[in-house]
Amino acid sequence: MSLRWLILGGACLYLALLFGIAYLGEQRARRGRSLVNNPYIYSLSLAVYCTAWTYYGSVGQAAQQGVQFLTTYLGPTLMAPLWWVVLRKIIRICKAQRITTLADFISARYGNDLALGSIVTLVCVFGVLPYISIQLKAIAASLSVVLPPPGPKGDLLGWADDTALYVTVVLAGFTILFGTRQVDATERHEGMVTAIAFESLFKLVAFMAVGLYVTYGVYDGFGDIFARAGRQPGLRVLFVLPEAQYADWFWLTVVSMLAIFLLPRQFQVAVKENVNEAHLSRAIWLFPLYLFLINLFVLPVAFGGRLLFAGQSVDADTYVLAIPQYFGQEGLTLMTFLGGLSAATSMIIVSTVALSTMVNNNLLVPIWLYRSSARHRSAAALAQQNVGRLLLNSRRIVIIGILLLAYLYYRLVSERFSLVSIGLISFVAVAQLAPAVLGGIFWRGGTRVGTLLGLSVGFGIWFFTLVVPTIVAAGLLSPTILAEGLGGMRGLRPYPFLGLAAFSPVPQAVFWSLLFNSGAYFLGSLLSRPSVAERNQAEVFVRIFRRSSSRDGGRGVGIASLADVQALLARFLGKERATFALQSYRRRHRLPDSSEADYGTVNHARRLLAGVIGSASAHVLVTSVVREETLVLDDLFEILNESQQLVYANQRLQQKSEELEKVGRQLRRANQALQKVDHLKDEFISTVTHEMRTPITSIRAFSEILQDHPKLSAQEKDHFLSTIIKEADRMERLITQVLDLEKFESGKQTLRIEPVALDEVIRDTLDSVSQVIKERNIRLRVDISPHLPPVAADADRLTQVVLNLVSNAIKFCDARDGSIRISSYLIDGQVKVNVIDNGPGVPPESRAMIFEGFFQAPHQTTKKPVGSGLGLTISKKIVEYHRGRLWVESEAGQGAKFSFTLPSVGHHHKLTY
Amino acid sequence: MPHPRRQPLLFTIFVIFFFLLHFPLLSIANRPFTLGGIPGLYWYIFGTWLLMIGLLGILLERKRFKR
Amino acid sequence: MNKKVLIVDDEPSIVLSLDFLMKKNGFEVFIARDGEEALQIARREKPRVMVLDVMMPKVDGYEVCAYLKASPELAATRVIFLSAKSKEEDIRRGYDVGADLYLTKPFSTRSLMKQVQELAQ
Repeated sequence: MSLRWLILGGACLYLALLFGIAYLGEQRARRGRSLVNNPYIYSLSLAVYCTAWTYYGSVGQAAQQGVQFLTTYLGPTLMAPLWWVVLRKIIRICKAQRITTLADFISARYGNDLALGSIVTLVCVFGVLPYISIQLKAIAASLSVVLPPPGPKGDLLGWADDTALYVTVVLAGFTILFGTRQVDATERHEGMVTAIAFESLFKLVAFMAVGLYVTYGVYDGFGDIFARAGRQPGLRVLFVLPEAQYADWFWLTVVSMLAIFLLPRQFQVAVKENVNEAHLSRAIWLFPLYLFLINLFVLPVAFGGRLLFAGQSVDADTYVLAIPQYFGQEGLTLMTFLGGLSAATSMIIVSTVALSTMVNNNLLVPIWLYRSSARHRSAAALAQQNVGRLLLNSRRIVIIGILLLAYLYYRLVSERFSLVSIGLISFVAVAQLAPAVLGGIFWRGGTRVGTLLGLSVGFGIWFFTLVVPTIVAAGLLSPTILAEGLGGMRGLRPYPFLGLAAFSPVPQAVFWSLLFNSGAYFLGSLLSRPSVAERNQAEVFVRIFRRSSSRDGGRGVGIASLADVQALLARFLGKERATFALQSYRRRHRLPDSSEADYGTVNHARRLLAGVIGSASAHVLVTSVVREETLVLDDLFEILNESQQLVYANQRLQQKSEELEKVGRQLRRANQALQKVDHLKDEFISTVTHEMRTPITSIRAFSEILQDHPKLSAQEKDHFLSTIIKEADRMERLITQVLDLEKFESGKQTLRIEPVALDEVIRDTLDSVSQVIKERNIRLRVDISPHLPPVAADADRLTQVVLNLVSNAIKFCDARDGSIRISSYLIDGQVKVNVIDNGPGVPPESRAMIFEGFFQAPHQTTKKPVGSGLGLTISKKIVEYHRGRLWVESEAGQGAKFSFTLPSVGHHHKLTY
Repeated sequence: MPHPRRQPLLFTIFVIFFFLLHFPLLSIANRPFTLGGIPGLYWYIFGTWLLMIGLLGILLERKRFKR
Repeated sequence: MNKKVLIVDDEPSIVLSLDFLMKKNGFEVFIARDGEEALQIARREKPRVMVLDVMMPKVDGYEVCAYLKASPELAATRVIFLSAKSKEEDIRRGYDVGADLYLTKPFSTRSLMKQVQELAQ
């Protein structure tokens, strides 16, 4: 009787504690002192991966099959180093696009497709619901083990079932309370995550406690247990992996590698609840360490149990509880039971939150939108109309629905299956999302059609090979399908599917479903044309790192190493003055001792330097020591942030500023290298920064105007904003050109050489500018010799050259009666292209200069006559990289003739790029 | 900014340990022998596992790779 | 004292912003795109203040300033250089040819306007 109350009281206390911890987490978050914002909590929350399957099932599986259970943990361990590439990218995308679930993710990637979102949701619900239900089963089963039967056996089970129902209700309450606080689903659930992290810690401690007890309390260490087991032939066979299982081992590892980031609950904690990408870095080794520790004692407990209960009918899944109970260790039994409870409840809570968001956003909201036939209303507009309450409530109802379904499934079906088998079936289900997710973030070519095909085929095979047998086992389907195959075709049996009997059922399902799934995904993608929306999203997803990065950190946050700043200052001010200046600044602002320099300090250094070398050069230098942010535009961001209207411009500027930072760094590097060789390059850098000042000046001026004159007319405002954007674009072009040029100059540029039809390149280029030509009434004549051999070239680069020359011709041809002639023919084994305009021409003294970018003679103060920018310089470099020649012929007032030659393919045997 | 070599190093660790923990390399340790009473395969798997965690930890926590 | 200001710059966006700011502060604004045009307008309008870029087509800002300061009827014009050239020697040259103020781009519109107001007194 006392044990009964101990266990029940312990469980109630534990759940109360969980509520308390979650509440604490919420409170701390609300007061801005987040508990969750550190890599340890993050790593622990990832351990929601370890469910009752790990806690009870691993021992059960190890007792029957030896080491095979480890694939479930080796897979995620092997995957961990790749998180830096895969998971970080997913996190970045989700933050940029405000994505909260896998279903959102896939639907967003393939053009915000509703159908895809709902299919993924269904895959996840069907795949994970049974998995939730076996957690309930585990709770009930563990209860029936630790509590001595109060009466006839049937009563006990009924009582345990009821307990499972109570637990379900409590968990529904918890999930609703801490999982649906905000309408905005991107809001983090700090309370929930804190509780999950606590549960992870608790289950680890509990499991290791029982492991230590069995290994060192009951037996005499690892060696003792295994030595005893080794004397029994039935156990000794488990010391090795049967050779026939190598293939199973491989596929089970693969499916776990995928499950670790594709399970809805893992996506929830790893991606959605992630506070800071940097936490990933520590989780990459901490999480595998967690898995290692929780598995360390599985084999000893399994063998210990089999030795102890030899000949008795004790379910190996319950050894963890049965062993301490057998030895009358009540405290340890209670702790172990609570550990199992924590493993099960954490999984249930997080999975339910993840699934409910998915069901709500991808099934209910679309249906609701459709039914209220408010097609033109966006979800954002809805959220403003006070539907927030409605959405929250519907999410809550969905949570109750999911948990209720899970409970029903447990009562009706899952009693028959082991923890491991149902868990693995879930793994295979979510693994079907792998081609869509991985293809989606690394391959721009993946399309909606391919994804739909791949998912349907993969999910179909999963259903047929893994779910149909469980339906048969539940007696809902005739077993003939298992023996005779679908429609009597023996190839179409769930196992062996298509006659492949090399694996066990689960690995073979992994193999076939992923094979057909990815095959269909790739073929479907290659054979279908993506819509514009898909192409845009593909671009955003695949190139997320080039587009933007999250700008966290602000005042007081270290953005550079103090030593670096000091060294930089010392170079210009002398060591003593630099040290003194920084120390007095930090004293004045009461900054704590730190090796980091914050925004203010760096800015102070910039001002100090500006007094010595001018503000622009100071900026470039300071930027070179700053890690994440750039400074010049920082004030701008704040101004821009204030106005909703300006958000767009803000994003553009942010991008520019990051690129500018990169350019700054590259310029500095280029500078250092070149100083030794060529003093002229100094001039280049100062000219580039000089060129950049004009757009920055305009951007700053207009931003200040916008801030200082809030009552501008809409028209003026719009005019000024579009000027800002235009100037930002100008800076972007400049930056791209500088980077291009740097690549060519440093020899880092690589070319993708292939035979290219030059006439096509020319026609494509002309197509792209045909609108401008028409608008300016320019007469265009194109003479391309009909039998032009292909040239060996990089088509994209070649297009760049032609476009440059044609754009120049358009810019400089006669304003009223413009005419451009383009001709191309073979001469001396070279293909020659001429672009001729009827503009003012290039005077002889400028002819060399125009190819030298914006190089200027020293101390020049008047502007060059012909075009600024780097277009011609880069074009010349490109042509020379192709072993060709680019030059200009012109007589003043007679127009300009730009020509280039490239070796044709027949004459270009040795191209060694 | 993470160290530029971080990504390739992490990938290399993945490849090496993927091979170490699968056929055919796994079969080298997959033989009925024991060491201090503990089966060789168990030593091998858990040892490799711990080695991988250690390498990841060293790589990711080293100061110059953080910058 | 008249409140005429002559803006000399060949960058349309910068001219646009200065034009707006000057007008908001009650100046009568004239605009020149290069040094030659600047001198023509200066001779005709005799502005109180001239905001002058250095790098321009045809005649550069230094020459314009030197010319102004040398001609008796224009010498009273206040000259503010607004230039992307920020080396010490450039700045010194600006003051050598007689500038009243030399600001480097990018500049703060607030302090520019304060200085312009002061110089226009």
